[in-house]
Order: sequence, then structure tokens, then C-alpha cells
Amino acid sequence: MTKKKMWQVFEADGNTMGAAAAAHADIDVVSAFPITPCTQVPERIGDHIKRKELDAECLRMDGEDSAGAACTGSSLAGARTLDATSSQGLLFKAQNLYCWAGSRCPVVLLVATRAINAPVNIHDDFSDVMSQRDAGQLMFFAKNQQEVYDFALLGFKIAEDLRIQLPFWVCYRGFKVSHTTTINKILSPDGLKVFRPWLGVYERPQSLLDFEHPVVAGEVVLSEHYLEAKFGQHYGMRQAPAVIKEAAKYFSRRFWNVYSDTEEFMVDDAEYVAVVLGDDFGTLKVAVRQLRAQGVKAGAIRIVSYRPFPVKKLQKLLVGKKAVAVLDQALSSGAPSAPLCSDVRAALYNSVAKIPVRGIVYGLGGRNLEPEEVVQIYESLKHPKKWLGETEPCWIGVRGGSDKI
Amino acid sequence: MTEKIPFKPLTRGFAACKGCTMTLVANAILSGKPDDTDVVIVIASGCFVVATAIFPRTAWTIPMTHVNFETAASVGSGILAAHKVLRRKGRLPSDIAALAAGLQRRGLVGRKFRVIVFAGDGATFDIGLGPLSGMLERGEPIIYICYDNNAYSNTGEQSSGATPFHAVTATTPGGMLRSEKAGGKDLMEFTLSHSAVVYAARTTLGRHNQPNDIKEKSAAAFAHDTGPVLLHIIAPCPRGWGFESSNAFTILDHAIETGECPLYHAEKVGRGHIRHLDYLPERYLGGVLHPEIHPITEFLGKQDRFVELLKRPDWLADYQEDIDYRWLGRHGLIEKCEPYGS
Repeated sequence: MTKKKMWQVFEADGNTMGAAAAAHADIDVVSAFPITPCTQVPERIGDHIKRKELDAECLRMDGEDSAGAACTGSSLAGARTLDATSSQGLLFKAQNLYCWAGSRCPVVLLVATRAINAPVNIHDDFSDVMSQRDAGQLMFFAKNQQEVYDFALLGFKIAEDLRIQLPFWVCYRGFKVSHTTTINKILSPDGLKVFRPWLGVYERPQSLLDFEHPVVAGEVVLSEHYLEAKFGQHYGMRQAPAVIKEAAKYFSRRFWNVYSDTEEFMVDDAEYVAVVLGDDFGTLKVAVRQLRAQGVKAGAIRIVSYRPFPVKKLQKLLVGKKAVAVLDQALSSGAPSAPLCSDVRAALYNSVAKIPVRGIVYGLGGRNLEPEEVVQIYESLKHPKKWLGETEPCWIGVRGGSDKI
Repeated sequence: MTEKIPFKPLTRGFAACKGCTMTLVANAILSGKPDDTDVVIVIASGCFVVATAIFPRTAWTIPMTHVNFETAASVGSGILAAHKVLRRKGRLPSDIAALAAGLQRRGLVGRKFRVIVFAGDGATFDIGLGPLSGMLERGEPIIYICYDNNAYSNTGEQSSGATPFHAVTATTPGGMLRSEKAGGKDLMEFTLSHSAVVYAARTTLGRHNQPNDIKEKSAAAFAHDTGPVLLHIIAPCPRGWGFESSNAFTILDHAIETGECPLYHAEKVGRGHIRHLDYLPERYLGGVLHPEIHPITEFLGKQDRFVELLKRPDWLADYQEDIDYRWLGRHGLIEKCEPYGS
């Protein structure tokens, strides 16, 4: 008997890959409202429904807030639910994001990340997702179209696990990943025969539609019990690393390799390491190769699972390094560091080693990060004394900017 | 066989204020639920959730969810979509239970399902108007109940889009001026501007005139299951309106008699809506004004919120003219409804 092939080639952009994952995960409800650059996700899902490859309800909502609310409703009613958004849409949806986590709705949200108005800009940065990073969801950052698919598929498995029951976000950069086409793998019909039983169907333990056992959801919970309710929600996040590991291990063994916490490039013997989210990891790799050719021991780390944050793994990877740079494509104005950098610093602070960490802000609104800039950042790590006094991140790539790499 | 237990959606012991009509409205509406229909209640933020579901207690005997202020209609859409797809896929909890019990699939064949949204006037007239419009336009068979107490009562009686002219509220302490509110907002006509709506009605809990109005309209709401249904229900708030808690029904009787709360409904017939008056106040009998019969002071005079208005004859006249115009004016109730009693 020949070994069955679990995957097939699929040429697609990030949004289409997200929609393919939705179809392969056999979602029940998708809530659609257009916003650039994630608009194609519900459109492509609509195509899957039209071609009868997917049996789902596509809700045509009247706004992002309503779209988020519809997801709360369908998830509370026990339907596997997917939503997609970007930028302003995420902000307009914001209070529903907290509702999902607080009401334990394992909605999978695809975010084609985009800058926030004003001034209005349709290109990528992580300002949108970072602004809502504390809403209580798991957050995975995809570096390419393939990972949008992989993480969305794994997202349902992980989010709906009864130990977790929290929303799961797949974040990928608008246009750079959402709209560029690459050659990818998706599950073949034989692969689906293995994947679907493993994924199972979503069975909410306390569904609003269980009329024999009526439940009340979203009720008033005052100070006598709110803390416990929130701890219960948070406990789901505490369980997440183990559940993610299980799911990723199975998927990697059965189908193809997926990252579950971090991805590293030449970190083992590196002296200087840069940390980044998403597809700019590729730019870092180009710079690392250049520097290695010149004898500089550079390395790069990509945070895949931003929530839960891989604290232990990062401590292990970075112990003994001479200096670290953290590149943020988002901003916390007036703060000592941007979001990713504050997390990295916090993760390292209580570890054995005291490692100088430099915060860099780059690429807001989609300005490309150039390998030469990254090389300069690595070079600056050799001389920590020059920047240890910085009280906020260094902005790079600003025309006429006064910050010195 | 088991004895049939009377359906009581809200149990005793909830925390509504003395004399509150909101819970009476809910029980009146839900008592119209046919036996073959399962419902999920969605409540927008407001008094209702605070009064009926503070953890670990709940007054609800049927599934209920409270959601963010403006999102009740949208959450209803989500629940309805989930029910539709899960029924199709045979994955409703009843299906799963039937399978587990070794029964034929679909243990609840023939059961009907409705989502009922309860939202106050703030959640309906103001913050949730867009989501409500979306729901009405999508044509989903949701029953949307607006219990209207003319203000944001839960937060302490601030004025809303449904607050009448010259009423004293926390944000209009001197009585709302014409300059602060240029005109009213007609929820019924807004609703009926959505062609998918199959039934819409204004009703309330009157005792003397049309005492069964709310029950009849509840039954009609459940019977119209092909599209959106909206009931706009005046629900006086003793605290906010400033009346003795035992007087709610007297106030409502005055509201009906004076024409302040018109009782009428509209049904979809063909592609349009036909409006029917369910009660014609004597003041407007024969389609002409009888100025001496049931003037608006009978309604206003019973409430502290109109204290400023009652001091000002010009405001009083203004209010009365408004009500009269609503009935007799161009495209007024008399004109747009079918002839009364026809």
C-alpha cells in the first residue's frame, strides 16, 4: 500500500489561506464585514460555501462591532466561529474581544494587521493588535501565508480545548502577507480524513441552545465573584502552553512542521540577537547572514506565540548573550519600551543573566525594514554603553529623525 | 405522564424596583410563547440584567445572555445563525442528547426556535440603532422588544433619544428645551422603513382600555415567524418618572387615553406594510379633535418629571399640540392607519 499524501500544493495569498483553513476546519459561522486588508477572508469563505465545500452560515453584518457581537452569540450557542478584521475594525470591535474571552468564546480571529488612523494608512504595522493585546486571547504571529493556514487550523483545536476555551488570533501583516501569493501546502482530501476526526466538532459544555439545561451567560458578576471569574479565564491561558505543545506536536508529526513558541536562526552561538514578530524575521535572517560572513556572531529570534508569551524559552535562548535588540512595529508613546520589547525585557529581568536590551521602533504604516538598517542595529549592540542610557525606544528609518542607531 | 408545569420565564425574587413595569412586560410577552417554541433571551445592558441576573442568582428559567449595550440585535443574529447551521448539521444539544439516548436523531423534531431581544430605549433609540437596523434589514426572524422608559434609567435617569419634550432628567434638570431636542424619534416608522419587517406594534400594559393588547401582540409576534418583529412598549419607571409605585397602571391608562401612547400595529402585506389602530382615544374620535376630552395634563400631571412643564402654559400647549399632530396631522396616525374598526 502506498503512503497516502497528506497535503497538496496550493498557490494563494494569506487571506485565501485563512479562508481555506476555515473551510478545512469545517466552521459553522463566519461573521463578515469588509475592512482592508482582511476583506478577502469572508469573501473566499463565501466562495467555499457557494461551491458547497463548506456548510456554514455567513453573516452579513452591519459593522465590525456587530460582527464581533454576532460571533459572541454564535459561539455561546456552540457554533465554531471565525471572524476576520484589521485596524479600525479591530478597535471598533474592541469591547466584543473582551466579551469573547470573558464569556469563554473560542472564536478564531484572523487579523491582517494594519496601521491605525490618523493619519489614515492601509499598510501594515502591529499598532492594531498590540492595542488590544490584553483582551484575553491567545495571539500567534504568522510569518507567511502558510502559517496563516497552519495557525488558523491549530487555532480551533487549541481554542476549543476545554482546558482553554479562549479566543485565538492569527496575526499577519496586511498586504505583505495578506495579499501576496506564494506556493503553499494545504491538507489533501486524505489529509482531511485524518485531520477532521482529530479536530472534532465544537461541543460547548454550556450552550445557550440547550433548552433542557438552560444557562445564563454574560450576567452581572460583582466584586464577590469577579476576581474568581477572571482567574478562571486566566487559568485557561496558563494551561495554553501545554495544549499548544500537544497540538503542534501532533500536527507536525502527522502533517508538516509547525512552530509553536519561537523560531530561531543561528542563535546557539550568537553573541548579539535581535527579536521580532512576523515576516520581518526574513529580513533579520538576511542581515544575520551578512554579519556572519563578516565574522559577527549574530542571531535572530521570532516570537510565534505572543500570547502566551514564551518566557522560559526566551530566557533559555538569550542567557549568556552580550546584547539583544527588540524590533517593534508598534508604539507605546511615552513608555520606556514598545509592547514586544517590554515583554522581552520583563521576561529577562528576573532571569539569572542581566542582558542589555535595546528597543527599536520601525516600519509604522508599512515602511519597509531594510537589511542594512538591521545590520546597523546589530552593530550598535556591540557598544551597549552608547545606548544603555536611552529612556525610550530608538526610532529607525525616520527621514530627518534625530535618533541614532 | 408528568403534570404540565405553567411556563414562568422569570421566577419570583428578582431585584427590580418596586412598581417596575419592565419585568411585567417581559412576563406578559413571554407568556405568549407557544408550547412548541424554544427561546433564547438576549438582553442589552440596562436595568433588566441588573434586576434579573446578578451572579450567583438568576431569575431566568430559560436560556438568557446579557451582552454589551449596543449589540443585542447582533448577538441575536449570531445565535440564530448558530441554531440554523447546527440544526442543519444535526449538532444541536437536543440532537446530541437524542443520539446518546439511542433515539431517532433530532429528538426535538418540529420544535420552533426564536431569539427574543430585550433592550431599553437607550439601547434601541440611541446606541444600538445601527445594529437594530442591520438586523431588520437582514430579515432575521428575531423578536425585538424595546421596553421604553423614556430615559437611561439604570444609570440614573439621563435623557435619551426617547425622552419626551420638557421632561426633567438628570441631564436636562430644567426640563428639556426645544433648543435641546428639535424633534421626536419615531421607532415604529423607523422600523417600518425596513421592508423585511413582518410585524411591528406599539403596546403597553393598560388596564382599562385594551387590557389584552400586549398579550395579543405577543401572540402575533410569535405567529409572525418569517421575518423581524419589533414591539415598542412603554414601560414606566416609578423612580425616573416620579410617581407612586402603585400608580403604574393608572399612568399607563392615562397614556393610552390621552393619546400619548398610541396602540397600533403594522403587518407586512405583499411588499408593503398596512397599519391598524388598535385603540382610538375619544379625543380623536371620528378623526376630529375633541379638545376637552382627556387632555394631556391627565398624563403629565401624575409625574414629577413634568414639574417644569406644568409651570409653563406655553410648554404645555406645545406638548399637547405635538400629541394632537401625531394623531391628526398630515401622515398622522389617523391618516396612515386603516380606518378604525374596519
